[in-house]
Amino acid sequence: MNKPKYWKSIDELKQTPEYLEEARKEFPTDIPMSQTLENVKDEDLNLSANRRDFMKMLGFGITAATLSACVEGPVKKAIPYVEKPHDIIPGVANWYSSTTPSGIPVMVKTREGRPIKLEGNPDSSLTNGGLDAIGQATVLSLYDQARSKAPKSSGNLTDWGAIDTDMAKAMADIKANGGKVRILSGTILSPSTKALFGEFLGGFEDGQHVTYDALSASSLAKAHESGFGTRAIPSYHFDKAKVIASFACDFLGTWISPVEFSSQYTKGRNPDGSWMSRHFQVESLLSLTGANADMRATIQPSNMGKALTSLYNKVARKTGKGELPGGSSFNVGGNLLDKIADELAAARGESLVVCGSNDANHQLLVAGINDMLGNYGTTLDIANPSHMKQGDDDAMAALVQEIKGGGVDAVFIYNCNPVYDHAMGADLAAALKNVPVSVSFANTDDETSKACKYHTPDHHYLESWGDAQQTAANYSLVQPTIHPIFDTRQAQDSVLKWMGSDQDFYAYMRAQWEGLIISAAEEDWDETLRKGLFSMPTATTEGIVFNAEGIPAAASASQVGGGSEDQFELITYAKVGIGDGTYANNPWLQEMPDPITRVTWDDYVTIPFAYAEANGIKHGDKISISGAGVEEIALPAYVQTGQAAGTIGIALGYGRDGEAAGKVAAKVGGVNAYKLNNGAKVSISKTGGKYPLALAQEHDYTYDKSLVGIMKSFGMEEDADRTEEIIKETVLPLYKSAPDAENDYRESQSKYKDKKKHLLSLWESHFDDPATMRRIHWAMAIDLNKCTGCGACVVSCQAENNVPVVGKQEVMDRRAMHWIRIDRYYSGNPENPDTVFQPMMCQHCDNAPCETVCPVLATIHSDEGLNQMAYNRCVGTRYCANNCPYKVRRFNWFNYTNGEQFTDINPAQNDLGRLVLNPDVTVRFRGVMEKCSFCVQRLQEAKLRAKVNQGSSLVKPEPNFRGYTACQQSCPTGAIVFGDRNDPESEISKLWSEDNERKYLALEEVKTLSSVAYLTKVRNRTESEYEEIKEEKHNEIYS
Amino acid sequence: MSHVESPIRQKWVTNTDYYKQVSDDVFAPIEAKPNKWWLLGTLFSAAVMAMGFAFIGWTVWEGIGAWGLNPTVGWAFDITNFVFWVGIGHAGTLISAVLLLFRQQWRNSINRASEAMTIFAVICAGAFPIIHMGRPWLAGWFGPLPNTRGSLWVNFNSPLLWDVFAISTYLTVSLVFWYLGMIPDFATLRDRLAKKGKKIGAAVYGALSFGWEGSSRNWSRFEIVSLILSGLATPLVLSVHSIVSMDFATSVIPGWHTTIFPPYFVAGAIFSGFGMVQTLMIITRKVYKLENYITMDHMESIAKIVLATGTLVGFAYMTEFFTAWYSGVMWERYVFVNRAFGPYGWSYWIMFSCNMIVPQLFWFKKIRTNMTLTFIMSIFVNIGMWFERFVIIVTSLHQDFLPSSWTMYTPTITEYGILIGFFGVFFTLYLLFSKFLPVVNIFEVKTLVRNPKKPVDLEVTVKS
Amino acid sequence: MKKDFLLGKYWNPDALMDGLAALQKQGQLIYDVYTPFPVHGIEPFLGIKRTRLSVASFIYGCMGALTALTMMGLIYGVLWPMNIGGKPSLAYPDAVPITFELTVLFAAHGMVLTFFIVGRYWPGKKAVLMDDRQTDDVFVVAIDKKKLDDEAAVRQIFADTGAYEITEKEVDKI
Repeated sequence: MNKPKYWKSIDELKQTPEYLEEARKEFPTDIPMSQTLENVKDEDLNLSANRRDFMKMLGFGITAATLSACVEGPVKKAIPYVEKPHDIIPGVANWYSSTTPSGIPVMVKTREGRPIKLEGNPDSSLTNGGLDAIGQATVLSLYDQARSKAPKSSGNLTDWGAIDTDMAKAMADIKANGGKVRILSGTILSPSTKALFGEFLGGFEDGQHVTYDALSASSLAKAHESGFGTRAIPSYHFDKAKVIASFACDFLGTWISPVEFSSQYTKGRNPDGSWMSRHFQVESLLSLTGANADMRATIQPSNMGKALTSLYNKVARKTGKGELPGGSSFNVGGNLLDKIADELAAARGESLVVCGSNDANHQLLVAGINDMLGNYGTTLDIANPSHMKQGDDDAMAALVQEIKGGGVDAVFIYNCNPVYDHAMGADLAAALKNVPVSVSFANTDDETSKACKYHTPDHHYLESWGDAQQTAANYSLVQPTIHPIFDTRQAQDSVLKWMGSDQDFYAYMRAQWEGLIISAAEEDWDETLRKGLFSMPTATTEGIVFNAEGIPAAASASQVGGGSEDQFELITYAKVGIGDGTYANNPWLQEMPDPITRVTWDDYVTIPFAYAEANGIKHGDKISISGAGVEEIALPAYVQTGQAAGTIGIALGYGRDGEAAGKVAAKVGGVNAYKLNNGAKVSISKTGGKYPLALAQEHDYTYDKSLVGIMKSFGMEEDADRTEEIIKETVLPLYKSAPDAENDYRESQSKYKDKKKHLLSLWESHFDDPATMRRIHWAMAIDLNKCTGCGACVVSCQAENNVPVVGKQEVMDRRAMHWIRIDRYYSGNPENPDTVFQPMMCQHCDNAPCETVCPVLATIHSDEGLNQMAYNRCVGTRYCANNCPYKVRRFNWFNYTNGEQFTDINPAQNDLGRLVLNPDVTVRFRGVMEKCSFCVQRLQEAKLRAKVNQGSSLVKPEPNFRGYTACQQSCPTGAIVFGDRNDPESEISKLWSEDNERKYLALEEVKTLSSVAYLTKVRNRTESEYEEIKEEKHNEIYS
Repeated sequence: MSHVESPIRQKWVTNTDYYKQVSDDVFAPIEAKPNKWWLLGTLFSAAVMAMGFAFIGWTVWEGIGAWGLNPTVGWAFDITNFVFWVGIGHAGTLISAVLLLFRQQWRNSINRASEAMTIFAVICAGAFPIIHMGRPWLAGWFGPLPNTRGSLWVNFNSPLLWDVFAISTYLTVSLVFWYLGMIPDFATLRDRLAKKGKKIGAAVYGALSFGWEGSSRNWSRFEIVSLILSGLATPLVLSVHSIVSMDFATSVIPGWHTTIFPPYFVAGAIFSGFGMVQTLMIITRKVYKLENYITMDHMESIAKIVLATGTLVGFAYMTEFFTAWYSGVMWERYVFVNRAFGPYGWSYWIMFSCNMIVPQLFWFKKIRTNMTLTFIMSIFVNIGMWFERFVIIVTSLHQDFLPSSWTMYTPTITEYGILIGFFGVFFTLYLLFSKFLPVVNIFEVKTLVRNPKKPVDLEVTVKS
Repeated sequence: MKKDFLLGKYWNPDALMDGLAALQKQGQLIYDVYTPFPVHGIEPFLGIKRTRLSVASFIYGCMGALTALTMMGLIYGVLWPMNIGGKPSLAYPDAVPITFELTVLFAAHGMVLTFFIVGRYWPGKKAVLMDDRQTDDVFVVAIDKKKLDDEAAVRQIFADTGAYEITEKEVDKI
């Protein structure tokens, strides 16, 4: 059958010539030439565009487009990837393994090519994923305005080419006439760098590499040299020590490798474990370590020798070894030394004695004690020494003399700042002037580089290649995570260049590794780099014998006598946050409250409590200090409880040269304690001046004696101290014997649990019904036993959540913005109190008082138990903060991101510093309330990861993930546990279970149902010790 | 209704025989040229007001950081002022409404001024919830406004939101009540000025008078309306300050979390309100020579109320202490001991002496009738009531649960500036009122004139 | 429209009441009485019934309460239940204050508006006066001349009860 033929129009049907004509045309209608072209001849008009017209149009079009393109349009900051780099997904972080300068293996979080956060490498056997405050803050130093931006030659900016030619010539000359070349450095962890330097120096007739440490442990190495023949610092194993006796050794805060030691130490502090270590601390100042000790006594540093000798003899008697001159009469804290000796002797091979003193005799005595107790090979390992401190003070002193004497032709100063942080810094600075070639590799224009002829700034470590060897057995790698920001060059590359080698350091280092290190283990380079970690089999400790013949001399040498009444012994010490002062220009660290004093932004002198009471010295009274070898200085006083009588403490790391260190350091100022003679006898006096200190915690009100008196007359004196409602403490024997870990609230609860349940709440919880039980219920648990109060979490939180830096004035006005703070409470005799730290952040209460009162619903509860804060909705009535029993809400009093009073201190105010901000977290505007969000952005990420893996909508994220919140991640001791309370697999659910005696909520009776549980602090004390101290505490408050 | 007046009833209007006399006396300031004292006073208070606004401007520009607050003490002068002014704002409506319900005739001559006071005070009060916000330009978000974000409404559980409703209702209702009462007086004024040939005045007040003629039909409706309005206003007054007190009572902060607050605050509000009424009346009656209408008896009855409420408040203070002790809750106990003997004890004792002890003097007629003393005491009452709110807010907050967060609070110059500035606002408004509006309710006072004489200028054309 | 009125003016409210009583005895219909202040007991003479404004305000009040309850009920109870401070999403005690306030708000303003409307008051309305002192100290009894059956008697009553003036006036009244 034939199909019908369709047509659309009569023309089409008739196929008229006009129609065919039209159909052949490209455009059904004429292009209106006349309007577009002026000089068109009339005859052209009737026909459609010909080639010429097309060319005209084309020309016109291009010109028009070009002209319009010349008009300046609005500048758009967001630059899309024209060609997306294969390893960058916008919005998704890239992680690279690296190592901080202090040798802590980290993972570097980069977003769109810029590092924004450091997190401890969880695979590291040294740190177990912890990272200290200073390490956290190093990422901010990468974006520091004060970094040197280009090489300098004798103070003037120059370019690398010029420098290289100069150096090439200089090196040639020195080689020619056999000159002396010295490399002066701080501890270099990098084996490749050391090899490189060795090679470099080998090229000269007389080349030497001298190492020193600002915070020196030289005498420790020296002692072991005389004891074991090899100059080395043993690696310590606090996790194996059942009894730890520490003499003025702040191993949790600043000594050798605090992060490593913290994680070891807390392994032995678990009251539920088979054993819990017992920690004695004998020290002069109250250190972080002392604050965590079970038993503590104070001592003047000058008596340290006597104490150690006495202990040596007591132990010797117990272990049947030969005693020393000096006897065992000396004692501290009543008869604490006897107690220590007994318990050490009882735990041979499982005990550990450490000493922070930098006196070789003291260290030798300690080594002797450890040897008598047979601790070498168990808790100390000399066969696999630690490389964390390689300094040699004697060599350094010699070098300074040598340079002074002239005749040194070239000095290369790498990774240290001796002019600032060495006692003879001034001499060195002067002497360097006569050295023909003095080169500083510092990456800021610091004091030393100012004294040097050449300043060839090194990369920040996040821009460089490198490696590290923390102990004989542990290696880790450093890799660049960002293109160099300034015109700097990695020191090793410079050295290679000046050696005339065309190799770069990456190639050199890789050759080193593939040649010597990983080849042994047939490890693949890329895989090792990915992990960032590598470990060798540990060497055996067999056949290493201790040679004790130096000890009697040491003992007799250290029988020097104690301090007199009017004289004070000056102690220079390192603070947890400031360390050796390298990062003095880092606002995060300056704003971080010192764990013990809770002071921010300031240098001060700590005065013993009793003396201050007797002489009416208060916080902030200006004190002038003078004495032998100490030119007169004045510092504000900080009245320190638990400090040995007759001592004053001044922190290192302050008094940086203003324009050398940067604006922040200049703001802080202070006194350079490196120039003070540690242990000098000084006399102090009030100048009458006042200098307000920025305390992050005003503790002065806790026990207002007069109030207590009044309350007593009402018969309510017990109510004066309510800290016991917030902090729960007990001691090991009681914890083992009694139920409920001495938590009376828990006891009363267990009474009512069943029969009076209806009295406990007026309405049923949103989280009771099984539907929600299937969902996630985020919760946290903080173990007060494990929390050492180091403050790493504070800085980590600041980095993760873009918490603004507000500066001294604001902190003084009690307006610090930290989302997590570490409350520090003392109890007992102020001359030697008990200390307890309590990290306090938003408790994410299920009955949140803040939510009920917000008029605009800016803060409501998520069905995963989070107390959410909608910044954009907040109008800033501050009602929520008033109604928060924990006072953890933070208000943006000013516009911190623009206010000119914060320009110098808040990194978020300059384009460079802004690069550190976390794009996942809003920067809050003024007038807005903010608070801990449990790092909701990280939780979201974890949930997404789980979704991807499980593909279900009702996801269960990893039960025991260590990296949920920033504080949890960086905690070196794993004190913070976070997770899904409803997931039976998770550790958090076990900690939250009702039969966990130690679990309690802060202010439980307010019935806020907070989502942060604290675990009762259990001190390892006998009941008798407990009783007497308890008595003391009670009298302290109520008498 | 003077013809049914029993002769033994107390006289609330003295030596006044002509109705016109009332109008003459009350309108005198309006019809006369502004005298220089009034000008000076107004200019001065306007200047103070301007300063206050300058400081508010500074706060808005710089941020709340310009004040002495901190995370622990999140409220201080701001909310203290708020509650203080709301309290002041209670006497007016109470006098006009409650006393009307109780048929207390002595209200007739003081209700107008005290209602004005109420409104001005509430205006001052209403400003603070906005000023104290971190982002005042978003004040609109307090309104339950629908929006594109679905669930993003206001929080109907929040006492602060209840405040918004309470204060706005209270302000508008008392404004209406006040204006309604003035309509007949505007009419009187209109006609007087028209007679005097003062065109502009007549026109202005004519417009304000809504064409009131005073026909009996109007009057009968008018009276019902005022009656019902006062019936509505009475619980409103009580509700407003109860709700304000809930800002504190519904919280968990020891010292705030108390069920006694609503009655305690209402009593305090009436107390402070009448204190302010005393202050203003003593000046007003003196300056405008209104002793015949605001008589010594009036001042005495006010003094009696001050005495009664002051004692009530004092009782509340002691009850709080007892409850704190009796509860056995350590937080409560501590807060109250700290309140009286802690670092802010001084403010507590200022409060206690001004509110509890000073009013006791009013037991003596000699003092009740001595205007100078009464005036001074009324000032004390105002001071005391301001400090009451300060004590409640600051002493409860500055040492609450966590000792680690305890802190002191020190006000800044800005806060003082705003505090003083709002007295400027208040007095500017009151002075303007006293010049341009009838400070005494004429038509109600006329009802109290007994056996009026024949107006002298009225010639009788009727022979009988 | 224009109306003619017979006006009896008093200066004493007592006399006024006597006059009104007499007029009522006479059976004379009174147009209205103008007084400077509310004189109680006039209503019966004029046959004014008690106003129903109170009922109106009650209804307005109910509307207010309803508005508040439905709004809160819808938002928190039905449409967007939320977890605010762990409390039940729609907690009835929390709804009380706002409900009360809205009740008062509606009742008060509704009633006053109604009052202005039924009494025909608006800003700038022109007052029509029988006597320029009627808002000050003179009491005027107005009688519509059309409704006047025995003018002499009425004038007599005015005179006897002590009106000081009896005049006629033509004014614009409904």
